[in-house]
Amino acid sequence: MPKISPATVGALESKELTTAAFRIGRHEERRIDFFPCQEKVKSILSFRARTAVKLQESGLKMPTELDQATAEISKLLREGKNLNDLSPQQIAQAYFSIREIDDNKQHEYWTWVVESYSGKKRNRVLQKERKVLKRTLGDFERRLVGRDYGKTMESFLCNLKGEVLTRDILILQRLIGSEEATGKEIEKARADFCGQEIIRILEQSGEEISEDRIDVAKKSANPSERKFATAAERIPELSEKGMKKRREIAAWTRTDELRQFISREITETELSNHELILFTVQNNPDLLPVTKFQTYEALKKGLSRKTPDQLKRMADGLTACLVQEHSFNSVVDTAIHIIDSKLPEIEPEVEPVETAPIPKLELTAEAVGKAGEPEIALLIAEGKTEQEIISMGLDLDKIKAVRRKYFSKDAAGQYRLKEADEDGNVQQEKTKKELQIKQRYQAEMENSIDEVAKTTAIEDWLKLQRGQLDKPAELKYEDEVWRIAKMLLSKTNARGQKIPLEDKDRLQRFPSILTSSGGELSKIQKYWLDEQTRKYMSNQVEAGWREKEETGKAAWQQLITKKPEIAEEYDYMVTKITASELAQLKPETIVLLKGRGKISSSSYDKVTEEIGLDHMPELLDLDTGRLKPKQKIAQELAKKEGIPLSTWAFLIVLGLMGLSEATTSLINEKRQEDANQLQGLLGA
Amino acid sequence: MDQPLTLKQLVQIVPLDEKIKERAINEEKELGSEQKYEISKICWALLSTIFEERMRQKTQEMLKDMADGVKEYEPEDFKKIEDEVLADILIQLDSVKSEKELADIKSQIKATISKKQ
Repeated sequence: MPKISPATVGALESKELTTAAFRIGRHEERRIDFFPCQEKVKSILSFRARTAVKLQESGLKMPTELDQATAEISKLLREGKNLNDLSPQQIAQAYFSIREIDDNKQHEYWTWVVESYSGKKRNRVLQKERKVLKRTLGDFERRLVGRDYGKTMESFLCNLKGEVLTRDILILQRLIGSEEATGKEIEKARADFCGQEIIRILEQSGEEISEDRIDVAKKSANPSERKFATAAERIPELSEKGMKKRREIAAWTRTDELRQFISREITETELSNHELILFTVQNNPDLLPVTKFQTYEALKKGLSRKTPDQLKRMADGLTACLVQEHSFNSVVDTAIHIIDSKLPEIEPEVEPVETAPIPKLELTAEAVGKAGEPEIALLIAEGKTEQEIISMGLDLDKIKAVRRKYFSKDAAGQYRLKEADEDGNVQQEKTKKELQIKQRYQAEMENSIDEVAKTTAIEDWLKLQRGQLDKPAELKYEDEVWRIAKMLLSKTNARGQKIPLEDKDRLQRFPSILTSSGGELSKIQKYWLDEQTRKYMSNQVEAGWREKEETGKAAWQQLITKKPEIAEEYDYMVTKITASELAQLKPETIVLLKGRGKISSSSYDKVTEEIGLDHMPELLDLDTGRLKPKQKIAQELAKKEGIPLSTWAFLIVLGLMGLSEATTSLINEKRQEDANQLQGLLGA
Repeated sequence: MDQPLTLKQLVQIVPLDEKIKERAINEEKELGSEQKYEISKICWALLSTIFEERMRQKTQEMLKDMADGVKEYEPEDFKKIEDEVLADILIQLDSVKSEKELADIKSQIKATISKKQ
């Protein structure tokens, strides 16, 4: 059983959230437009952050790490940041935050949502809210896990169990390396960790009073009388605290500490200072001035003239700047960028496998799963049919998604690689095509706009009730209710006739309307919603609500969610993609496509500006733009280390490499297990 | 809420290295309020882990006995084990606690557990 140091326990526990974010950040993301749920998410996260502040102030509960992350995101959203622009880590944090509310039926959020309703209406509103929350979570899950991955969020979370969101017992069990760890071992590991922590505290000066402690003191002096409004004012404060705390967790300044943060195993040989500098600047161009170079290209050239000591100093300086001047999420993003760029194969250690005889392996789902977009794109570009690719064990949905993203249909119905263009041009073209398709499906778009109008009206009613409706500012809930009450309700005069209500009746009738059990309030609400929906549909509200871009986007999103075939048509019709999208195909794929004449020279030039020309000289003769002869490729690749297994497999499938050359290279690299796996994959 | 156990009592019952315990108890008077607060937070977290883990083990043992037909348990028996586990943890205390104090300790442990989840 491995020995666990108390320091390891502490480091791992404090990195729980980071670990989750890493896993999710490295995961294949599916683009999901969060625009339709932007407001809902903003309101839920803001509620949760306010509640956390309230509980803290009333002395009931200290904010958790997730509460602090929630406050950070809530602050960003309130400042106008789009949910679509959040990093994978922030998306994951928002997801876990909402999920906690969804899992807990007793959560205060539910009471808050229905507080102004009673009876059946209350239940209906509650059910509706739950559905909306489920749908929102569904959007997040599709973004985080992706339907293509063929896994549910539950099974995904099961894989993370022990590292994320779970009790420290599970973490300790995992550290000990066994689910069967005895209670005594767990107690011992935990107690050792606590002992070290206590010594650390005993050795501190006793005069310092932390913010935590000041908050606790504030709480006892001021019990739970503060209202939500006061709590809301403190969200930025909570957010700052979260940032500070998490920066403390990652309170390192040297490159070896950054390496340790990425992976405990990684050494300077595997990730040199030279690479670390380039990757860090790639991900944080604003740090370029720290290196004293004017451009990234100049930096690349200049670094080769630096001595190891100079490189180390520059890398340390850059890392210190990154940690001190950027948010914690930027640091995590940079680490993920380095992992994705340099260390795609970092996985937990595997047991050594007997080398002989080599068993005939099946093409496993796991092995096929390693084939990402670049490999599938290559197969499609090579002219392999859908059926042929499926017979290799790849998932149809994944093939379709890659095809939609990178290929367009020509007049003969053949798939051709899309042309790359500048971001702005592509966006313009996409908008134009979207408009054309929208026009074709005008009737359905009308229905979608109708639904968006209804949803907006419902959201506005809630805002009106809570006094949060910004426009028009003069609308007040009680005035609105009374205005409609006068239209809908009546009173009986002395002769027994029914006559309309008047303002003078307000004092007497209004309280009973607000608490009406006879459904007067729901009648009024229904009237208000109908009226508001009509106003939206006829464009009378907010100076052109119906014409507004976000209304169009929301309706479009609703339409393509219901009818994915329209989205498919749109994807194919858009004939260009951005150079940076195409650059996601990896350098070796780009040069292969170029060598096979599958990518136009102008697209190639644009893409190579993104990725640099010198990444894969092994495959392409840069003078002629053609692939080198097969034998030459084999020789040059044999010199290169760390090529992923899936790349070897696809080079063989495309006829650019023989199985024996590939396995020899792998064995020379001491990757015997990969060599076995490759032979198994290809049925040798 | 006042803490149901003093810092000295807390340090006394948690399974720390004896030298660390001794040092914490000897230096208690010189500690600032912040340090005391941090140490008590750590001790409560440790107590809650121990409580939770022992509860899990005992419950599993009882369920196994029932599944194997070795012994029958009533729902009440499962409720009782909380008190047994607590008594086991508090056995090292030098003073006997009242029912009220025991209930406070139990709720403090449970509150710490729910904070962790």
